Amino acid sequence: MKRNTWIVRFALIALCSLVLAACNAPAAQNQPGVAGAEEAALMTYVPGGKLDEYYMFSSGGHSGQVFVYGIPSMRRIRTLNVFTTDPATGYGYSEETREMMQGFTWGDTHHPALSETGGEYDGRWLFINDNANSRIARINLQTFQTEQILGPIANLAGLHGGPFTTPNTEYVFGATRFSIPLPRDSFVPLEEYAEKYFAPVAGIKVDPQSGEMNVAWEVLLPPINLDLADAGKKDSDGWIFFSSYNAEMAYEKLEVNASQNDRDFIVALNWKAAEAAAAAGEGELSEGVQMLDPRKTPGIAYLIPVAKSPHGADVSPDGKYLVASGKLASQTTVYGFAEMQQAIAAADFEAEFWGLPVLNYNKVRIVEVPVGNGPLHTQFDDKGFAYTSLFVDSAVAKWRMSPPWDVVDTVPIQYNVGHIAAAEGDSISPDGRWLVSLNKFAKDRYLSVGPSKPESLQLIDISGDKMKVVYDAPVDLEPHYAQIIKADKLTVLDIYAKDETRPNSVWAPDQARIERDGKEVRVYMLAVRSHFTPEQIEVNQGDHVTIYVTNIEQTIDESHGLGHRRLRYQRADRPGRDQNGHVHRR
Amino acid sequence: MMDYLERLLFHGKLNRTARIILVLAGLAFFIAIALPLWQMTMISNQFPEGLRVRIYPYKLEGDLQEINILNHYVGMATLDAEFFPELQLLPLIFAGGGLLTLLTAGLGYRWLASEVLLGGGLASALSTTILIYRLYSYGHNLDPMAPIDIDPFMPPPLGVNQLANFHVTTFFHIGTAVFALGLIGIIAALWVSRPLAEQRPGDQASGSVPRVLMSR
Repeated sequence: MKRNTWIVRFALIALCSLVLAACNAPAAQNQPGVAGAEEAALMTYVPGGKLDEYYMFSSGGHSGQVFVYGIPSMRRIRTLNVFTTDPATGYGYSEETREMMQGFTWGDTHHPALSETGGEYDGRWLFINDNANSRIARINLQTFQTEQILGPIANLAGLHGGPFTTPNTEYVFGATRFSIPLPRDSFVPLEEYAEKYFAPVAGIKVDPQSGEMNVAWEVLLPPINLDLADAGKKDSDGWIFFSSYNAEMAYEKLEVNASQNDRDFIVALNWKAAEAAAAAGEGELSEGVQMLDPRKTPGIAYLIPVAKSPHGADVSPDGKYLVASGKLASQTTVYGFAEMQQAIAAADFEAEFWGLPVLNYNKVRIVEVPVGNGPLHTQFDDKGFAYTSLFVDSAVAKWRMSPPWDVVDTVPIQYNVGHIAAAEGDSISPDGRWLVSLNKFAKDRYLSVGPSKPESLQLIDISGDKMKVVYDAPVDLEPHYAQIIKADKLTVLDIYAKDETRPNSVWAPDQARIERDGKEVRVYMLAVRSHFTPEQIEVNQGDHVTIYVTNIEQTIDESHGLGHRRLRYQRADRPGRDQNGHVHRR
Repeated sequence: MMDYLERLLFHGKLNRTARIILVLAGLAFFIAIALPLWQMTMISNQFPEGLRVRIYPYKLEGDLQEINILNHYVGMATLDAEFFPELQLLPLIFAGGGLLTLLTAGLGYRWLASEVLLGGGLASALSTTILIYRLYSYGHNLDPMAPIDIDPFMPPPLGVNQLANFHVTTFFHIGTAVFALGLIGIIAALWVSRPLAEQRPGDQASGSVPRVLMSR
């Protein structure tokens, strides 16, 4: 009897283990690429009162925001509302910020771009695009305030590819992803897409002192869905490379029809030549902007074949190589800049596309590296290695940027990485210390907050031979790209200086006053702990009231806000700052 | 030997124990209708919990929508009940087998039990062939317009393989085992009521078998 029981039990266990073993075999493995708890904790713990070594600026996608993180602690320090209002600071409520936002209520931020001097991040400004409304904003990194929103930029549609800065911030570039007929809002049947739709690129000049952006000129390009870009550096300074993913120039069922050719194109744009051509008066005005047509002005744009549907073209720190990955091709291609120049000099073209020369792929390609499935974006370190995000594999591959061009390590991430950002990764001297994986899905990694999950940032230690994931940080929807800068490069202002010359500001109680001119009422108000002067504003129904409030505090973070309980009036001032707002009730 | 085998399979009737076993075997065929026959489990880094497809005699179940969405990138056909039209037939075959087995238990003819066994064996072979054929066409009829080009491949009906980022495990599930138990039941029924062997001159060559049988 007892023996029978044992047999039955044995049979049951055998059956169950057969079924379970088959289901769960790989799950039992130890996860590779993850640092031990103690090691990770020591690497990332920043004690209270101590500061992080790096700032990370991450885009916030449809939130229209920029997230500021500290690395290595991965603490989120601040959220900057760039393309959306921020009631907490009065951003988007004061007159000057309302004017800047032009009535837009949202933006889609993708690619933060730190200003550069000599190819190094200089910590002065952060530029960020609005993919939705073709705008670029400039954030002053002294105050972390948005100072300018340029756009909607003439002739552009869907400014995804931008802003990308040149090594001395001479320009930031913005490219059209969703090609359009020109002028914008004109109608051309879709059947004429290949001939009459365009993907212009804007060269936006940045004033070296004030940072003020102005559209200098634009270049007309074929409707091939320009995606991302990176400016040349050192050897390749003067060029910028845009990836694109619709060489088919398809306009319907894009998922399928824009993926039929084995190769798409990288557009190599000689921006210095374009600048010279614009200065020489070439091109025609389009929506008020000088538009260069590279078919009529040869020498400014070339096409380079690339494995299909690339996401990103990244220039190596020494400027000698260009790396592009075909996300649908499981292959990353390295191009030589010198080889490109030789091919151009020798007119070694394999074809012509849309009237533009296509460089001979076999001449400009150095090597194709099989890095893994769904490669997207590449970053670099200081030891001659490149790091490529693998969307399909949910992994990051580390590979040698020199013969034998081999993959030396792959680390799984959770889950579906888009961009990766290395410390000082887009500069001419990456630090090789940290890499952040910006993941599209967090799924099961954090306490659940309902169907709308956070996205995920993972900090990866890249200082050793093997990459190690050391920290997971949830992040609001949804970062695309980030840049990481050494914190000591920023000179951050703690308090706005007392500036008595600023119009409408009041710095002493005896200057505070109410002025009436018919139905126009102007209130010059002062705020200081713990009162406003004047304290009462008496108006008649129908008056139009403008309130200028000056926060005269000169102590860190003593902010004062003022709102009206029913009217849409709300603002909050940082110490030493003033803002104005209108109240009008008929 | 052949003579004995012929008697074992075709002549005479089954005893009571055999008939009880046949009732159980018949029930096994009915029960198998409700159980999964085969399973494919796909695990990857971003699907640590795994994606699963189970084939029942009458339905396809599992993370079909997710698998179909993922597979459309590489141009694989939509996996659904229409992809396996056999699923409309399989429950009938199982039920038919079950009924015949119960009928055999009632009538007790050895020949009938043998025929049912033969039919069950054929049904198993046919189902496995169909499964292999369907898997073959699933991995080979790739839409040439698909965004991602992959080489045609053969998903193994049993075993482990790597498909892009997925670790794929396939195996025959509990329903197959229950069905197989039904078939084994029929064999057992024939065996427990096996006829006594008679020594004949012609059987000398196969010597030991009858001796063992006679020892009972």
